[in-house]
Amino acid sequence: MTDRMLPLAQDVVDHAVHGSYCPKMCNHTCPVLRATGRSDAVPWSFHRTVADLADGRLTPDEAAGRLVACTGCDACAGGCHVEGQDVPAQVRAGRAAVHAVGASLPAVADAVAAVEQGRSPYGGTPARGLRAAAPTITVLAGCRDDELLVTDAVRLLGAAGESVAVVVPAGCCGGVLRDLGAVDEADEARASVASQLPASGRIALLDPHCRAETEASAPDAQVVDLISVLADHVESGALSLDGAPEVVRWHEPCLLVDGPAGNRGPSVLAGAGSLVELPGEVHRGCSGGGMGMELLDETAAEEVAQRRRAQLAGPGPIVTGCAGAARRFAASGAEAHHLVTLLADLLDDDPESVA
Amino acid sequence: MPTTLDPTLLDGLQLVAPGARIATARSETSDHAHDWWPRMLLRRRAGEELPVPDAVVSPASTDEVAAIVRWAYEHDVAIVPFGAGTGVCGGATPVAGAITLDLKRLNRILDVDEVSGTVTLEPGVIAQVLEDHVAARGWTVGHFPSSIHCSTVGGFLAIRSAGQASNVHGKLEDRVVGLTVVLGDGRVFERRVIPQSSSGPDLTRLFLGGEGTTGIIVGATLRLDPRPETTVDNGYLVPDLQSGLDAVRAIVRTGVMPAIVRLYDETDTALVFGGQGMEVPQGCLLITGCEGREDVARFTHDLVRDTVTGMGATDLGPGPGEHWRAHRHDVSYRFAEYFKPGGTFGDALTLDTMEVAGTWAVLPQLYARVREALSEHVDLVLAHVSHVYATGGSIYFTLGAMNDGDEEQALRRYDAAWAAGQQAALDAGGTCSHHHGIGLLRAPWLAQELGEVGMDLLRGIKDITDPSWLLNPGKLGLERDDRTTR
Repeated sequence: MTDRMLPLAQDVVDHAVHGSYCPKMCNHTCPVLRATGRSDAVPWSFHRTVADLADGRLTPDEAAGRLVACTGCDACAGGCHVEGQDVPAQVRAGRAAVHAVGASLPAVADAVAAVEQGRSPYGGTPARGLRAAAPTITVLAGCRDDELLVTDAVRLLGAAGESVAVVVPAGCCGGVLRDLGAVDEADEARASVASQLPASGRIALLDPHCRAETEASAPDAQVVDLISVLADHVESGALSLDGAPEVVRWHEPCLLVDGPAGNRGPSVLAGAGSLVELPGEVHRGCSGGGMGMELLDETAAEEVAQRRRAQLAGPGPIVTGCAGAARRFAASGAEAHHLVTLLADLLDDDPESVA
Repeated sequence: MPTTLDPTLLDGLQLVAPGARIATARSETSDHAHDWWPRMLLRRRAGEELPVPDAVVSPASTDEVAAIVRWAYEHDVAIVPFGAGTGVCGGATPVAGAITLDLKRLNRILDVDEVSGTVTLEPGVIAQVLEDHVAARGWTVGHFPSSIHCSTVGGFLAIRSAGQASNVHGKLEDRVVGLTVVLGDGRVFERRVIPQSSSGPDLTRLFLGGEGTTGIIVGATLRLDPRPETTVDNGYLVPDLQSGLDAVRAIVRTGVMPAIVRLYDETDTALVFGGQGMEVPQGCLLITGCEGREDVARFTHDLVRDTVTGMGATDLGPGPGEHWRAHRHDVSYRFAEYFKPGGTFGDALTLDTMEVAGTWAVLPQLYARVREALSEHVDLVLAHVSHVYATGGSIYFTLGAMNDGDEEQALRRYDAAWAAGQQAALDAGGTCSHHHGIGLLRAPWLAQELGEVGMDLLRGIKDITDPSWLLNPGKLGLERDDRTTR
């Protein structure tokens, strides 16, 4: 039992209790469970952990260690027939509750400290922003998007006739911190980004994991993923690429990133005749590189990446529209590229021309 | 066998299985405190702190499983195998002093042999994941139980599971063409992959249905079928259950077989129609689902339709069958809504299912006697026939009782209903379990069903496959104290 008040909303607890009596019906959907086979990755286990945390059967310290092996990818939501049931939201709420009483894992404090120092939660240095007098589109770079990727994005959009501004959060847009349970810190980060973003117009996400925070930061703007913007330009003829990229395998990121509609990357690649189509069962998946799991549980993240790599095995490199996934795959030994990089290589402009 | 596990032994276990995860903290082992046996859920809901395993060990390979079992054999430590923890008879209930062996990390689909039409896999693969994998290649395992989304193939093999399309595809055990098992002393038995054989008795049958008491299944090769081109679903109304049974028997004897045959009793029929806000008809609903190549499925459907309408059934068209197919997992998803504290029917609901089976000659009595026995103890009993064979079929009862928050009463009624229902099934000449297995729940009735000689045989088999009786103590009624001396 704990005498510390846990900030868990009643509806979260109610859903967790409900889920703790569900016969694990979303087992087949979870990429972490499929990759690791771990009991603490069974979505039901998260329900039970949050329910037990709420009624004191688990201490916050115990619960903190039980709420790590979830990428937040929302695959389980796609398989669930119960309205309002949301495992990742319960995991985030559980992490937030343990963080609020000072029981979160050291990795959370490390991520918060990194952001306070202007670094990404993963420890990297953010790319530089780019101002434009009258931008037609604003690119929001994610905390894992490096300078080269940002440059390539600007080149591609510029080649399509866009005037581009780039906003780079000072460490985090809020998404990763919120996923880790550091809610107050995430709110601060979100507010900081909101002050830099335009109130309206198009905001293109270089890292689609930033979607939820960006939509909250700029509710009146049109938030789109950059890959789909590029797809529109390719289809309209505004963006003409010289030659086709090599044969590749497309990693379609998770529901969390792209929503049910998915990403337009495959249409760009298919149009260029270079896409190896994957069967529906593995078309979409999780690289293990999203949000906070790799900070909380590097082993689980690596096992998910390896599993996804095995699904994507075949000719050519893995290509994705998610910098986190590209980084994760590369770290696990795969040849993996961001689609933006691949397409930018087809441009005949001067990369140095991007200031 | 000690009733508490000496924790210092676990250091040695880690040495022999370095890749295995070993958890001993209650916060980590409580996931394995129960499987999906509703009796344990009733106890949990009542606030009882359920016993947890002394340790949960999660190996990553067959070699590690064998090493762990050898270690357990040397140190006289019992082992409770655990898959997804979704069995409904308590087959994975922890045992004091034992380790629980979690097999979910053995979850690789190793090979699809498209020439022979087989798939080879480890036991921890979730059945729906397997089905998706082979379906993408044009095949089906043909095993579609309502728990396909959550349960492991190893668990299904251990209890001799049946899927909803078993009429055509058989029970899962019928699809096994190769099996790898770790015996109770750590030796590994591997039955090579063969389509059929007369090389002595079929030893795989010692382990299918063994629920981990005779060996731990660590690999299987299953027969695949080409994925059906189409399915043709249909519904019929028959005047009563007996005429429905007659109609189903007539279907079976046409020589063609729908993959799906479901005959609902009057109560279940009322629930099916009433649940959709439709007028409840007099009689019993019969659903058929014919599958295969377009012409084959259509031919089967036409023959089934002509057969049953010729016997007085009313053709309801495809609606009921298609509705069933679209909603066939709904009840499983609704389980929590009904069962949780403060569920749809109030606190302390008693809820479970009981599947039994018998020959055609026995089925009418089996239905009547089990229904009557259950009805003495619970408020609602409904049933459907859902797996049929040349010689008979299975009846799947659902039992429910509202207890106005009285959890003790919920448990009492649960136990009484099970005792009465199982006894009635045996008295009527049926089997006490068709496809959910035995576990702890049905052990007393298994002993009755097999008889003294049958149980002696079972104990003798265990003596050989598990010489120290360390595998899954108590399940199937195989208590270590009862082992025979030879």
